[in-house]
Amino acid sequence: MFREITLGQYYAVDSVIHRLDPRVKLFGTLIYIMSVFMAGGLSGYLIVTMVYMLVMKLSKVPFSFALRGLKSVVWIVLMTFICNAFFYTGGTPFIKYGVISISAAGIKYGVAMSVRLILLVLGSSILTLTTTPNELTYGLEKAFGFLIKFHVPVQEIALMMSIALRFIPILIEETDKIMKAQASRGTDFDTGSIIKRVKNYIPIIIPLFISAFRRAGDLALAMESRCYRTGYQRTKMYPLKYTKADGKGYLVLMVYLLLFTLAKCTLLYTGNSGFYTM
Amino acid sequence: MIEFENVSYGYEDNKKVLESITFKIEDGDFVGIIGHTGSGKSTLIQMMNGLLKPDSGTIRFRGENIFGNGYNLRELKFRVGVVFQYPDYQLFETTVIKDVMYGPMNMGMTQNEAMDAAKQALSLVGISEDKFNKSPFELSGGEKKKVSIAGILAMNPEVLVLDEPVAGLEPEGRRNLLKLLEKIRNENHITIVMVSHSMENVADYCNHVLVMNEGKLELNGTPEEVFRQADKLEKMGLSSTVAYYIMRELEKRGIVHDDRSITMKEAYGCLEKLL
Amino acid sequence: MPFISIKNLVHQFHVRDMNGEITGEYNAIDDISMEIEEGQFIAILGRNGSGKSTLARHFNNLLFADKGSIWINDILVNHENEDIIWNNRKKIGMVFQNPDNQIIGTTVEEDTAFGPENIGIESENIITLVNEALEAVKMKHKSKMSPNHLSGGQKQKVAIAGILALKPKCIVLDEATSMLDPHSRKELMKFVLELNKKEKITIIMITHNMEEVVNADKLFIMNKGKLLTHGSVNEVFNEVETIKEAGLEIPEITELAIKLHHVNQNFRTGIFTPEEFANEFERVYNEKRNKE
Repeated sequence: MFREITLGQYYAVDSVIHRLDPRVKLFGTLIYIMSVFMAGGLSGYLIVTMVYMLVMKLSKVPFSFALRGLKSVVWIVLMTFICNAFFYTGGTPFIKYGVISISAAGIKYGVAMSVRLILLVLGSSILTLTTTPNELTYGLEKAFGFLIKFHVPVQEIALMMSIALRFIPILIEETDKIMKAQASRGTDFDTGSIIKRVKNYIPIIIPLFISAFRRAGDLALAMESRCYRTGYQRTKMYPLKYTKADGKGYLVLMVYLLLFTLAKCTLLYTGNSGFYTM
Repeated sequence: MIEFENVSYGYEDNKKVLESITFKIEDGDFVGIIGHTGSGKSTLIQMMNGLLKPDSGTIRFRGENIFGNGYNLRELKFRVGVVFQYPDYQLFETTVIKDVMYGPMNMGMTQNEAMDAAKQALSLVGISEDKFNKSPFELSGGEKKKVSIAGILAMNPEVLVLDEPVAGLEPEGRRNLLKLLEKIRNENHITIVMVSHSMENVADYCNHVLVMNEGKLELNGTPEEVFRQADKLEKMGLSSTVAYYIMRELEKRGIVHDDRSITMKEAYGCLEKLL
Repeated sequence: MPFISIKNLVHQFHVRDMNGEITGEYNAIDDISMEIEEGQFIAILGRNGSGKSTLARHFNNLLFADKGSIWINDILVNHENEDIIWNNRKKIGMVFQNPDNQIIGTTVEEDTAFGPENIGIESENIITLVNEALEAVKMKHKSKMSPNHLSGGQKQKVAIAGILALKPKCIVLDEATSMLDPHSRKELMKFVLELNKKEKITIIMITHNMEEVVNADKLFIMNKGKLLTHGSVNEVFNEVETIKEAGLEIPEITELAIKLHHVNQNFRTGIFTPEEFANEFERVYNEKRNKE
């Protein structure tokens, strides 16, 4: 059962976005995040939302599937809204009680901040929806390859990430087995004070750690016996190669960034606040 | 003492993990469960102490439905002790004695009572006193296994259920452990249920055999009844005992007639006279 | 010339107390000499702590001798010469005990490619090597799968594919079957034997299970870091006392034959299958009838 768990939320389907080089998608995510931060007013948010919808359409990932990613941040969004709406001091409050002051401007600001957060989460989730954890790791390795010049062991870090990806499901399954073994000795995970409950997890954590260390030792030996050595340039069975589509992808991204920045600057310069505030 | 009635559980790859399992285990039995990896053996034993709940069907311990209203499932875990395959998943304390005391302390025994229970259990499995204060992680594979069994025995269970107790042990350790289980059953009157891959071990020690295949209980009987159905066992990708195959070959050649040996000891007893 | 030649090998382990201070040392391998010919199926047997796994790690240059020497293909292993070490690791692959703890890749083919990637082979060649290796272990159809979905036996086959992709001359199986169920164990042994016969790959099998090695060309039995005995299967299996001393057990059927040999000296020993046993029994039985 636990072996089915995959990290991230990859949605396996063939699409233009799926086929893009992970580096293009990483760059795209960065640009999108920048544009969301730059967008201010209603029209700005409309544009970035439409861009998101367009890319989603291209990726063939069902919107309902993408929405699942929001579940984990729903509380943060709510907190953001409350903090901004209740404690905003800029506008004229129509309710004021101690430190709480609610004003129309505050509510507007709260909504804007929440929308921004939602767009950030949804936007960057396109990356994980359309890229396997492996491609992503390799993409990161290549994208940050220049750091090797500064003696950062990029290749090693990437390998560590991919090994972690392989072992997470194994360790989850192992945790389940250990819990069952200790439950058979009467460990009670559900009752008692918080300190007692935390204490009840010690018999789980110790065997899990010992096993993880043993696995690490075994793995190091196995890697060494298969000619692995650090600091030695490895080759790849499937190296990342840019295609024409990737070139076009970069072009589209650059144009998007340029237009967005231009629009923003123009509007700021002319003092038209329509794009900036709501 | 343990009764399964039409127990079904779960789905995996469009197949039931357990399908309508019915059997009874009597007081004092030494039960062997055989079957392939993924045949449902592990699921079956995790139901015996209530770790898993069946989707349908009833499991009774001493006549009482263990998933009935108000049944004390926690107490059941002390009465039906389950020892899992890897002792490493169980051992965690700084010393052997403390680790064995963990179960008894969870039962609510005092420090002294738990200490006595642990000492008794450890001496029963043959761990000498000089090892009581050692770290359980310094022990050999066979010793770890014994300590993990002691950790369950210290709770004074009525049934001891073991998942592949001899897997990964060396020949010597294997024989020692099986002899120990036999002793626990005969002298301490604890019912034993053992999952095993070894037909020989089951034939040598058990009086009741359950054969699982793809979630179904295919055979249920005495070792003789089960191991004489070699064709059925082979169809499931299992086999009968070597002794049975020897006697079958000799029967084909007209040397023995209607011999019922399924263990090497029995086979030797029969063949020695003929030479 | 032998493929691997070991002369007076000693490997020392330090004994440490609770604080990590060295309080003593013992010889995990104590003055062992042996020769292994290319293309042979060798088995090294012994109980836990007999030194058999320590010895196995010397073949793969994961450990180095404290005293004595090892030649592989007539080249002396020298822990300061990296070229020799990397070359030996390419030539001699190793399959370990725990199937989960030796698979590095997140897919089957990616794991098989790990070795070739490490030694800097070009991409197109890696693809060919990986495909050939996965075909050899009959796992090609699972190449894109996560290893987490495979059985123990299949994982060990992937581990073997990862070694085959390096075009080895020899594979060392360090208790590689001990965590498998009997069915997968038999299947893996059958496959390894095939590799030995068809591809002429030298196999060194480290185990405590004597049933697995009845097809070996040569057996070595170790105890307490020393070589107790060596020879053909028939020779070694008859040394009942030595086997007992080493904490091993001969297959039940072989033992039964030896017991019957004591009843009737005509009954031959070194029997491994029920058919063989029945044939021998029939022969001795008829002989006795005829005399009477």
